[in-house]
Amino acid sequence: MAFNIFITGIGGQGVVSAGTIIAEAALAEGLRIRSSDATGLAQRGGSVHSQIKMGDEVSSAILHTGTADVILGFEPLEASRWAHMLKPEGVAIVNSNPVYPVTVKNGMLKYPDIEEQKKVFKERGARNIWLDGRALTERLGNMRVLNSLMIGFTAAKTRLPISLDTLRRVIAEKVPGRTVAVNLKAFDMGYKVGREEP
Amino acid sequence: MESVVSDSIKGAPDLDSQELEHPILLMGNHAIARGALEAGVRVVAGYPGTPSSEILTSLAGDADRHGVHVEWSTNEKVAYEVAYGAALGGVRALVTTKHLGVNVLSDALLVSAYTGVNGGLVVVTADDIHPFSSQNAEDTRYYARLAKIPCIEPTNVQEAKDMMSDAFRISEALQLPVLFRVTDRICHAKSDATLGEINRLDREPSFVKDDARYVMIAPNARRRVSWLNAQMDAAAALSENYPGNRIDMADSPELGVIASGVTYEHTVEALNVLGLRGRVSVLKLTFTNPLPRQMIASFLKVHRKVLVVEEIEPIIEKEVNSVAHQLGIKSKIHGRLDGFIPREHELTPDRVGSGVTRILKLDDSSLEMPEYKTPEMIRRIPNLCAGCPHAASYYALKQAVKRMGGGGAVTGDRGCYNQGTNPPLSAIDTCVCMGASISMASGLYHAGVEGPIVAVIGDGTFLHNGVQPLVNAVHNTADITVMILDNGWTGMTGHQPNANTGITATGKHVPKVSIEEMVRASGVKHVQVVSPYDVKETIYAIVAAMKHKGPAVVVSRQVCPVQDHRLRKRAGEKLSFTRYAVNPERCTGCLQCVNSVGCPALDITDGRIKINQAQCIGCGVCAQVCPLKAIEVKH
Ligand SMILES: Cc1ncc(C[n+]2csc(CCOP(=O)(O)OP(=O)(O)O)c2C)c(N)n1
Repeated sequence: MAFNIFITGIGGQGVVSAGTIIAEAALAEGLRIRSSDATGLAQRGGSVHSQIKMGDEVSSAILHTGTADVILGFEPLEASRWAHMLKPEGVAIVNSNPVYPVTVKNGMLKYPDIEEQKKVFKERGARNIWLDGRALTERLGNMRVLNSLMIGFTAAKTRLPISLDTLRRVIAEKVPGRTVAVNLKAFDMGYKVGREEP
Repeated sequence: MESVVSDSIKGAPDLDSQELEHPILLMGNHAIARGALEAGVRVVAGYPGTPSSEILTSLAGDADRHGVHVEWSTNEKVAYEVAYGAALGGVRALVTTKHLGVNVLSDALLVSAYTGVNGGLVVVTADDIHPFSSQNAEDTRYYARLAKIPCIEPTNVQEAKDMMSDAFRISEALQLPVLFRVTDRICHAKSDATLGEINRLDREPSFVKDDARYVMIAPNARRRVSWLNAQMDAAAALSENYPGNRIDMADSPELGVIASGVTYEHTVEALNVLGLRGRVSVLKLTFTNPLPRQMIASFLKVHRKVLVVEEIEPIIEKEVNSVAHQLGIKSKIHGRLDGFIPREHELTPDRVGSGVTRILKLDDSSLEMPEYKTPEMIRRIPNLCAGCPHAASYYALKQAVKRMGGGGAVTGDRGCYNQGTNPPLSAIDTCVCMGASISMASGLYHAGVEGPIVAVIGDGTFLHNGVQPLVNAVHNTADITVMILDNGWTGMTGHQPNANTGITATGKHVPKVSIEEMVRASGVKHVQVVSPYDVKETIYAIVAAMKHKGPAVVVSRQVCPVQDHRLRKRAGEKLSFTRYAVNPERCTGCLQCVNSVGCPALDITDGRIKINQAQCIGCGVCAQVCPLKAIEVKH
């Protein structure tokens, strides 16, 4: 048994901490872990990703193409950029709020059409589920809990081999003290939305 | 002050964790740090550089408790010499660096191999072999061969920790420094790992005088080179018997893969994904200089086809070829040299797997993975942060160059400010190696290039290797302008303190070096200190420096806001900023603000500029560059 997740987004969105939470939680479930983060430079705004393998026997901190059970995209372009990592029977969960690079803002480049991006996953044969992370986190009054929200949603929509209790416990351990409550709320909201949606 | 640079990632395990029974989640760089503590290290010196920096940062957090001296040195050569001195004094010492730093310390490394060491000396080099965030991709294992010292390449996080103790033991057994070579996929990987006990080797430090050994004048050097060669013969025997060099024989082998370092795990993964474990044997190598040639020979003898994988140059591959040639073994050897493995860039399970299937396809074509490629997407270039003083400095510089009639050259240097090459700033013309901005500017001046010649360098890089080029520019009368972008920190590599910060690696307050006094002491007659947030003043200062005959320096000083705000928040301060807003009646959407500084806090919705209040730090630079005065302070 092995379960692989590829988390992708932009510096400052909480991609790496989401990866750490999932990896810690998987370890707490007795699974072995190989994971690695690509964070680029200290600056904000660059592409970031975190890949995690969990299972009884794992090797290499890099996923083989076509072996991700889940792509967890915090930003559309960053998610579809990595579509080739997904198993054909895998699922991509994508926050639908684009973050435009400066080169798009000033008109040098064009941001790829969202429908085109959805097609990239469809061509792969994979399921892709889009959610409006901004609208949901706004309801909680805190935009910085996107990662807990996304983890909750993933727990509802995929076969993530980690119990909800373990995920909640690890989130409570890992996030800054004063934000524990709102992060757990975000996790629960993500789970609930995931359960309700078809 | 509480240790300001201790690891800010919550979730990094305590380096002195007592959890010895159950595995914990460990980042590679923390594993190396823990391994050094388990080996009883006493002195640690390093210089920041991706992907190595967290090794020293995490050790610094616990240094005092463990009685270990930990320092960020001025540059890698200094770091190496500090650690080497400590090792001559009989204690175990560690150096941390990225690959480029090995170039800098190599002068000391090559000669120190002649004297050898007493306490173990391990140099951890984190090679950015792709490269992901460096000026080049480099294989520092060549230095192990050049200096004639052992090289260890762990294959995963657990080994990165465990093999630190091995490396120190090998270093002391041979009296040689050891190169401990890791790559990004160890440094920034996280894995389950089981810890061992932290050791405090209570050794009595001592220095026993022995000038025939330590004073490297030529007659002594002639004797010591024979000693060094004999040590490497002894090292070869250690390599043959090292348990980290091992053969995993397949049940019915059709191919043998020889893999070192992280590529061993990529190989295992690829074979698992492709279902080929039973058909492909693997020779795992972790003691890679000197190589276990006999073990390689025995592997070659039972595999007609061999694939060599390694990061990043075909060093082992060439030596495997030489073993085959020497013993007349006819196995076909593939790898980077014949293109079965791509010639450059990081290896992955895919790339190893594709080499394996391409070789085996000769016998079986059913093995290929279905091709699937994502269409190429637009690149997201990293930008300078909201309110970055570097962006303001570049805006002023471009205006000043324009006023001087354009032309010339802006030689850049290495730091956050080399993002100034990206649009919309596009402000620098070169970026090569640390300190080169000033010397290259001198060269362009002496070549006779017309127009203002400006070197742009950060405070950290100036102290690393920029001082000598400035002294040189004065001494050899180069009429150049040097902008020192002083943000008080070594920012790009994760905000480490330097001598200009006034804080040590372990968080102790110490006197700051004064950059302007150093500049004056170098003999520069025209020195001006400005804040880049004052756009006009900065433009004037740069123009004045350009007009000055002889080398002139503008220190553009503004503390890095990201780090400043982080520390102030940590100290419990509530931050408040001047709020700016765009006056929609004045703004025509000309985009001058976006195109001048490219600040990420400037959003465009439906052709209209809006200031993203969550990101804006109120530096006011966009308001100063707006030709229509459409960006106003909000009251
Ligand atoms: C020889 C060498 N060592 C280390 C590095 C890694 N490195 C890149 S930029 C930098 C320092 C940047 O500091 P500073 O000049 O103060 O600029 P800032 O990023 O703060 O703007 C370092 C250490 C390198 N590129 N080369």
